[in-house]
Amino acid sequence: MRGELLKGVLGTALLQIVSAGPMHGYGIIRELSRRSQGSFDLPEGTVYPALHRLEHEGLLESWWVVEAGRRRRMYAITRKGEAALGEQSDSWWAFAAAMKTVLGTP
Amino acid sequence: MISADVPEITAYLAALDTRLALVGGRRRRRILAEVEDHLRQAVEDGVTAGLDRHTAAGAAIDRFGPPGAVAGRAVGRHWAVRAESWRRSHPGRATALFAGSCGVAAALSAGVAIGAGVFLLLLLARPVLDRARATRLEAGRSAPDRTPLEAGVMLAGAAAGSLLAALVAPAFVVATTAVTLPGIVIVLSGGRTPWQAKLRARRLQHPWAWGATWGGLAAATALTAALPLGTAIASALALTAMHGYQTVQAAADQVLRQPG
Repeated sequence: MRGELLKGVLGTALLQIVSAGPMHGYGIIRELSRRSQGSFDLPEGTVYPALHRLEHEGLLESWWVVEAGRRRRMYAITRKGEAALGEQSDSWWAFAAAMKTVLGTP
Repeated sequence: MISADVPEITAYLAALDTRLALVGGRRRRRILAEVEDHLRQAVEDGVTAGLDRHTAAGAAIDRFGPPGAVAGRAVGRHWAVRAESWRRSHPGRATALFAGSCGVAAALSAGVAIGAGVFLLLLLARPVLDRARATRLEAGRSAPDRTPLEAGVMLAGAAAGSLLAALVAPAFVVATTAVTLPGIVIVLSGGRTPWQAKLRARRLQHPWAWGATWGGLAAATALTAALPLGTAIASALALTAMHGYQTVQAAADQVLRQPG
């Protein structure tokens, strides 16, 4: 997927993944890659700033945990994030439906 | 720790740490810890999949991205977040800071222009005044070394110059930093700040207001930049006229003194 297009929906995709339950950064990125079937070919390091931005906006919260002797940062969606995810999902589906109408079925 | 076992990860983290110099210690430690955890987990997964440790580390680092790009985004986010947070919590102060900085920069530029004009005036006037004094002495009239007006102008010029020298350098640095900081934030953040998105949206919604604003700023900047040059040109023209007048007057005196 084109970089600029992906950046516009990356936040929504991350919120959707984290909405399933608390996850650490590596797990979120793996899940993003799995769900997108490799279409989101962005450098993995660029996902963390997006996570930090969502946290700063109050859509995610994070905390440290220790798993098998390793410190990991866990992320979870907030109520505000759930509301934002709902709005962004609705907008995306409306946009996708409009684009499908414009482009026609392949 | 894997990072201690795998030199590629150690080197990557060191390179990233160097490039995160602008980020505060607490946040930098958080970023480095998250990156290290990510790379360690990726190497473990690679080893589980059958790769040797070094190959797995290379692949993990390739997927993660160059340290410069990762740090660039982190630094951009860091400064953008802080600036945006401050701007949102103190909109009045942010507006006042920007407007005040512009005013200070313009006032300082005008002060420099006036100082440069006074200095140029004195510099170019010196030969003319000396010649006038010599003419008066040749005519047998009194000619003090310094007229009260000239001494006053020189004293005021020296005081203004000293004051400007004391104030301009630090104030100019502060003013220009304050004015250019938003631009720096936008550059460091790669143009992805909510602030820039808002600016873009406003530009599209109000193209005329946007153009008028930037046109006014450009005109003010041009005017400010033209002040020193204009002052210098005006001073030079005035002194040239004075010099021409004195030359004509001296020639006329000489003709009138000739007998019969």
